[in-house]
Amino acid sequence: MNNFDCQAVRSQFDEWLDGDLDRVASQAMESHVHGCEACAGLLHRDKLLRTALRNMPTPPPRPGFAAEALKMARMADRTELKKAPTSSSGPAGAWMMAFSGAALATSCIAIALWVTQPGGRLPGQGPAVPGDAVLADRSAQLLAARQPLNQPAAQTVSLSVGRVESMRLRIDAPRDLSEVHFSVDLPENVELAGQPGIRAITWKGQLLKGENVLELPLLVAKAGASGVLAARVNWGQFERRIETSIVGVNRSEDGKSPGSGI
Amino acid sequence: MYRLAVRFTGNQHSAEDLVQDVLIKVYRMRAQFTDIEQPRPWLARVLYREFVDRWRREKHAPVSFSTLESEEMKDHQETVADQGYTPEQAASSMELQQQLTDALAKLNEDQRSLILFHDVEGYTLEELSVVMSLPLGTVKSRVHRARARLREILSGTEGTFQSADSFSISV
Repeated sequence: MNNFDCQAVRSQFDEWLDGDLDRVASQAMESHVHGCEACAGLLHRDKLLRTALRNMPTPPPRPGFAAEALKMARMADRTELKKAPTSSSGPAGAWMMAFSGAALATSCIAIALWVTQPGGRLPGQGPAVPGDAVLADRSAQLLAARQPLNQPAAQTVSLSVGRVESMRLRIDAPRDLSEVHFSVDLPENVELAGQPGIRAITWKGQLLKGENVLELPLLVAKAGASGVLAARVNWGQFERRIETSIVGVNRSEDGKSPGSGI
Repeated sequence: MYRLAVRFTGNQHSAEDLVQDVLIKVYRMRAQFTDIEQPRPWLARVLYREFVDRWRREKHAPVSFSTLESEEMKDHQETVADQGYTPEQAASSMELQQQLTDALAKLNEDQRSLILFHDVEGYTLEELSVVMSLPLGTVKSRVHRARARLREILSGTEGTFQSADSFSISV
C-alpha cells in the first residue's frame, strides 16, 4: 500500500462508518485497513470518537420538570388567548384569537359590530338592526345594539365529536377600536381545545377597522351534546351578542356531515 | 428536547429554561401539528432557532461546556461510573468526556451544532437538512468538515485520547 491509497482510504472513513459506501467500496476499504496498521489505528480512533460522542452524558432534568413545563405552557397559552386581540393582527385587519391550521373551520358566523358616535347612525348591515336607523341618544343606541344579530339562536352548528373544529366569528368594525371587551360562554361538553373545564372566557383587546376574525377551536366531548354558545363583544356602552346552538355529531373520516348550519 | 437543550446550553438550569420557552411557543402552535410531516427535526429546529435567536444573543453561555462540571453532571457521572465500570475505566471515561467537551467548545458554533445534532444526538443528515434549512449536500459536506476539525483539535491530545481506548467503549 502506498501513501496515496492510505489518504484515499482515510478520506472515506466518514462515508464508510456512515454506511454510505456501496458494497464494492466497502470491501476495498476493509481489505486495505486489514493490511494497513496505520489506517486501522486511525479507523479505530474514529470509531472510538463516534462512540464517545454518542455516550456523552447529560444531567437529568429536575424531577417533575416535564409536568411543570407543560403546565406553564398551558398557562401561558391561556394568558395569551386572553391577550390575543391586542397583540396580534393579521392581513386585512383581521386578528385571530387562536389556532387555525389543521383544524378546519366548519362554520362562519357574522357579527357586524357597527358602532357610531352618540347621535350618529347605525349603518344597518346587520340583519337584525334596522337599516338607516337613526338613534337619538346613547340609551337608544345601546338598546338597538343589544338586539342579537343574525337570529343566532335559530342557527345550529354540528361539530364532530372528539375532533377540534374551529368556529369563526367575523366582527366588522367601522374603525379601530380599543378597550373592547370580549366574552365567550360555552355549553356543557364543549370546550376550547386545550382548555378543558373552562366554560367562560373573557378578555380585553382591540378591533381593527374592517373585518376581524375570532377563531374558536372547539372540541365536543360526546355525541348528542348540545347547547348554546354565546359570544359577546362590548365597546363602551355598545354591545353585540351572538348565540348559536352546537350539536355534537359522530362524523365519518371523510368529513361528510349534516350541514353545519351557518 | 431537554437533552438537546442541555447539549446547546451546557447545563441543566439553562436547558430547562430553554425547553420551557420552546414548549410555550410550540404549545401555541399545536393546531398545526397534524400538518408537520417530520416532527422530530421540526421540533429540533424550533429549539435550535430559539437557542440561536435568544439565548446566544443574551449570551447564555454559547455552549461553553464548562458548566458541565456542575453538581448534577458530577452526580450523573458518578451514576454512570456505578454501572459496571472499574474505577479506572470510569475515570478514563470521564477523562475522555472532558477532552471531548473541551474540543467541542473549540469548534465554531455551526460546526459544534452539526456535531451535536448528528454525532451526539443521532439526527440523520436528512433531518439536519430540515433543522438547518440547508440542502442535503451542504449539510453533508459541513458535517464532514466539522468532524475533520474535531479530529484536528483532538489530535493535540491524541496520546491521551488514545489511552482512553483501554476502557470499555466498544463499537
